[in-house]
Amino acid sequence: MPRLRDLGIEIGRFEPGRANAITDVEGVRVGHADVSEGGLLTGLTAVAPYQEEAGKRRLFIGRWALDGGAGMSGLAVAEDFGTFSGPVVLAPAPAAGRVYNGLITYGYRRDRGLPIDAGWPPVVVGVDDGFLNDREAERRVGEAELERCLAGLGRQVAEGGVGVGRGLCAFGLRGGVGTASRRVGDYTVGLLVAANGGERRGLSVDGFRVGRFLDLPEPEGERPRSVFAVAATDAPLLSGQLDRLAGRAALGLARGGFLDGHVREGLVLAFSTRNALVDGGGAVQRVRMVGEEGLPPLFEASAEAAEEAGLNGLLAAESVERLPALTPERLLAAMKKAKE
Amino acid sequence: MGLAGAAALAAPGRLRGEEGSAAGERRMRLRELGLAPGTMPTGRFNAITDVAGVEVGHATLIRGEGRLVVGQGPVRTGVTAILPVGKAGEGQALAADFALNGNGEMTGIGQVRRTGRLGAPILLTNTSSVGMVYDAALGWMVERRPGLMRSGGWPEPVVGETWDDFLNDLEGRHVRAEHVRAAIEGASGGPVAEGCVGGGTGMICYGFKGGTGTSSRMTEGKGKSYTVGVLVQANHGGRPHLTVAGVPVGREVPELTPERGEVKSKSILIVVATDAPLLPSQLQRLAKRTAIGLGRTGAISTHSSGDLALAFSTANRLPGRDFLSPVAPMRSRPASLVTELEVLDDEAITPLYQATIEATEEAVLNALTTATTMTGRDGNRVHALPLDRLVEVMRKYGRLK
Repeated sequence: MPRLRDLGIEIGRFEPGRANAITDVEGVRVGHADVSEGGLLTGLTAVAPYQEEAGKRRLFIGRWALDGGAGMSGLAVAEDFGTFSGPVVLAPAPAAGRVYNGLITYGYRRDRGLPIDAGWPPVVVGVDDGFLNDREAERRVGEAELERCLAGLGRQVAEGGVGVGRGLCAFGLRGGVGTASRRVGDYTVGLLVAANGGERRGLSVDGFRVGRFLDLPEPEGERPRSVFAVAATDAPLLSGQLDRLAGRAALGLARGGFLDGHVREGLVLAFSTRNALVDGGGAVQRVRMVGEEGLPPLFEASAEAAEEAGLNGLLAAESVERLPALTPERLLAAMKKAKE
Repeated sequence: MGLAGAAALAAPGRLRGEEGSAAGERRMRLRELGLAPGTMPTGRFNAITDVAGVEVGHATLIRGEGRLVVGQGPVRTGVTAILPVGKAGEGQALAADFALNGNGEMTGIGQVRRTGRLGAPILLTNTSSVGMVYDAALGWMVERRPGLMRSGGWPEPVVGETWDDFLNDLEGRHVRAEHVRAAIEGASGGPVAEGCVGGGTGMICYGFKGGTGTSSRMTEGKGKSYTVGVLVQANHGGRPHLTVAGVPVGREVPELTPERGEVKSKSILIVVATDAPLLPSQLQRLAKRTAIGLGRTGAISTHSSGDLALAFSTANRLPGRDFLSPVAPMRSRPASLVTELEVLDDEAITPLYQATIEATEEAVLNALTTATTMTGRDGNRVHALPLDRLVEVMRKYGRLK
């Protein structure tokens, strides 16, 4: 399936990483679990920041949340300490409890004491995919699906209607999981977006408002109004700087049309794979920090990659009965009209 | 509380930049009275300057008496300068703030929150003088470092305020550029003058004369010992709330309330310094703990109180634009602008929390015990906490023999 770049559309000025994926950031892995039982069209997607076998460690994490709202677990530690240690799991919101429970099990396996640096607290982001799913039925998704998801962690990132992407709806089109990355000097910034939410007329590609030129019906029913993304980088950023990196990814999502007046929830988590804080029993450790002047290119890259990742998610998704997909042909045709 | 552990200090040292001294009886620091909050030892001067490199200076303005004539006086105010790495130090300090109750001003905080660093002096003054003090501080910085403002991102002075209208011609805005200069250039390490000095000159705390107070603590135990120093400009609280070592002193001493006018409970500024290698997120947690120390003196952080805390660490110095170091050349590759920092394991941070709490509590109480009774504009008068009554009450509750 052609991705945005394959269509000759290049967002921004930085070069993508080798696979143009969040896993271009070394150590990062992504896993999906598709869920179809009982008529569900949903799933889980996990972003793991490092190999579990690497041992006890905490990484810095930052977040941007529209209206300052939460929509995730592990919030108090992430906000107050600026750290996390486990996979970030994107799950259908009604399943958050059981997925959380699954991560507790996962954490105990890492360390019987379940400390902060071995997977506690779980970071679960609840995604609203109720447009294509019976939300109550989604509570069936839980521990077993999480196990499957984590077992599938790897460097390859499948896009579109996979994992948590299966039930998404964006701009009245089939949504999906998308990814992209950018090289900035020695560093890489990678994004994974759960492309969800947005109004048809808002869909934009590299500044061109293409939504209204898509000759596709708008579906009936209450549409989602939320979008979620995870940013990863190997640049040594502290949590406050990662808050800002996350905010720039949000700007990229806004450029794509995902964030508009109707959005109720927008969340971007950003973590750095550098500066792993190992439980040192009270010791002083060394961390590295990019200076102020070094941040703007990283921010720019975050915005570019977020915009592209969201669009990649749409392009990779396939049509289902209620939601048409944004196929490459439809996108190119709409772009042509938008440019006239 | 038990007996004071560290060596007690004599009465406040020389006031710098003062135009006249506050009238009054011999005042004492809390420890001289035999009261010592908590269990941790203090630093050598029991002051924020126990954190090596930190310098404090005051400019104290006391002149005139009688009827208020705006622009003329009476003047009971000043400015206190805190230089995180002193005038000779290089680089910026990491910093964070915490607003317990946001009814106050502290300029430059947006930059601190955004960048996690401090590259300018901290100045504590009165509410209406913030603008002039900010501008004066900036003028001093630019004079010291020409080219500082050539491009964006120049360090902003952090100017905090509390309201001294009851005693001072606040509207007259008497703190001028020369006072700011004197406070900064006169800043030094060593003992810190307390009470009616600097920005604290005209302040009121729990209905007694308030002002500037300071204290410090040192962590002990395995590994390195760190110092936490706190300086407060105490202008907050209602009389019934004053608590010393759990004793309801305010309720036991209801007399000697401010005369001739109603005093609005206002604010407290709390500045925390440490030599522990903490990151901004950790420093913010230290700043939060000042609230616990403040609470131990009985404060309830009322709606009208601007209770703001700022914490910084001298351990890691960041290259970058500040008023001392050369301007770092702009480079396009992020990799070349990476600084290596030390960071304390979170497992070891709790003693620093305790140090912050104890030093905050003692700094507030030091402001009360060192301040002197003051008469200001329109004959308004604020009485100092009578030390003999304090001792009497503490004996009554079994805290002193």
